[in-house]
Amino acid sequence: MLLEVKGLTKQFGGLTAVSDVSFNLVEHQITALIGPNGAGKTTLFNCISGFYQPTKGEVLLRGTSIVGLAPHQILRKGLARTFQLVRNFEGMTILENIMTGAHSRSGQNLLSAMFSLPKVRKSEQQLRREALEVLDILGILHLADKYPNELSYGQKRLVEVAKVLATGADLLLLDEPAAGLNDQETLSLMKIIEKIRAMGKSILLVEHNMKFVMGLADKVVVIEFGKKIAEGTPDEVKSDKRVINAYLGGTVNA
Amino acid sequence: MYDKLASSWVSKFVGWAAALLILFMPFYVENQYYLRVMMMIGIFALLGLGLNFLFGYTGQISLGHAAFYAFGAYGSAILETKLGVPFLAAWVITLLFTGLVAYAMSVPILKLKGHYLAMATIGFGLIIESILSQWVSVTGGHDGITLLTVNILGPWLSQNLYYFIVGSAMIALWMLNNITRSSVGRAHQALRDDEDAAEALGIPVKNYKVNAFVLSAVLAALAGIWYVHLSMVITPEVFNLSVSIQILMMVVVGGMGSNYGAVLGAVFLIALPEFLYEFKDANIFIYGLIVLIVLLFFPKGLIGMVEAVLRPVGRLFKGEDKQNSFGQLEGKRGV
Repeated sequence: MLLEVKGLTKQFGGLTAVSDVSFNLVEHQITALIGPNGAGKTTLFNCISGFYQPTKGEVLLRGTSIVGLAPHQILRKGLARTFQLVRNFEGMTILENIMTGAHSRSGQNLLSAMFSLPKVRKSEQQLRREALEVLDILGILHLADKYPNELSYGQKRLVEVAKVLATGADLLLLDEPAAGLNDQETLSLMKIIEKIRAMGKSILLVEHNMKFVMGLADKVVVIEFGKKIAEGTPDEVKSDKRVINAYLGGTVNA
Repeated sequence: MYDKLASSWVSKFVGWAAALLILFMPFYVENQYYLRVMMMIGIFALLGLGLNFLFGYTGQISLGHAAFYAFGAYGSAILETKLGVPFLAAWVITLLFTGLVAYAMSVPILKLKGHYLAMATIGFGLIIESILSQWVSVTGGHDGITLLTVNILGPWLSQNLYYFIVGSAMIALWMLNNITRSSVGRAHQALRDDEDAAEALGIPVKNYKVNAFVLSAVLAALAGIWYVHLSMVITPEVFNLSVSIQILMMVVVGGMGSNYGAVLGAVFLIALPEFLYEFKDANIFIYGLIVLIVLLFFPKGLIGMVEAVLRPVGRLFKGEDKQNSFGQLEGKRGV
């Protein structure tokens, strides 16, 4: 099993944001996490990726616990995440943003960089080549030398995906990757995510856009008020009474 | 982005020529006063380069950098004059000690952010300042410490201090350019722009902040070592809060996040008051005015100004061989 979330609970003071949630991720699958606003999806993401410490429960990545590790350590174990808001590094070009994504694999440190050792120069070329390839895969190669503030919102969103792809992690957690995108942009993002899965990656995504979720996901996990209320294929979830009542307001517009 | 200036062969040639001209200035400049100004610029360039890495690249402010400058000056002077330690050993011990202190204090202090970090570093600076003036038996209190450089370094070295000071500033510039052009440098910029996003990409944010703090403290200590051997007398006033502010101002006026900017800031801070000396009482007024103008109209500092002037010149030399990143990948595919 790639990722096992077991009885995960997160409390903030008296408020229980996530309550006893369990689910598993299978390799090479796209799993969607859905639920109404405030259901605890992002809190769950933060617990899995190490930004929050869960109050109770376990998170196992390939069988080993990652609870208590810092986010950068979790990344180095192969789990990367994006954020709900666009968080590009404004002072760098897009290419440099992507190259930063691969920093943890560069093998560079302050001392080797200081003396510009041959292995550092070699790794710079490697980083550059890989970042260009990632941009090519996402179809935004022409943006390489631009700065984030020169990009459209949709392009910035793609850069976020490009950064996690460059990390080399094989489980990607995408927090509302399609938020704010128009229909055409959403469609091309769906194709890109399919492409990333075809590269052998596994994906867990939070998304509100039902067309997006139902079109992409192999499995859907539904949470409401911090609790898991359903889990299954998109079709199973769509016809689940509890989901229809609790979340989709009576009808499913898929 | 300023690194692009240095990428063409023309600017490389100009850079080397300028570096050699500056390093061998004692061969063609007789006036000791000018050489002394150059050495002070070298000392402040070391301070500026260090703080620029911490503040300009890593986004962590320090308003107590004069304290590390004092560590270098007092540390080496006390070891050499009171304990009779040979100068090379004294310098190494001083730099290691400063690095250790910076490491020990950076772990708790760097948990603070923004204004709180500024206040905490001011506090640290004030503590060191009061130790310097109160611990009379070791630091000499307000009388400070006097050190006869020629007795410690010998006649040849003390005559040629210029090469040590200016040479080490150049090496520091080279090293910091190497860092800031590397993946490590980009990781520092990334955590400056967005700590959580950097952490999520696998950058050990805490460690990198500590690294920057220690490196910048050690560079400040090196500047302090040079200062005491150049001026031969140190008192607590040379390392007070206003000096910390000057170092920070130098980085901001020079151009935050640019190593050349930090050096330019040092030239500005040291050389300009010397020129303005003729204006007597008005000199501080004029100095302040220039600082305001630079900050208001050139948000990227002096280096931004220089870049704006040089950009059209650079374009003349760049030609068509310089492809953008897009072209590189196309070329690789053989399209």
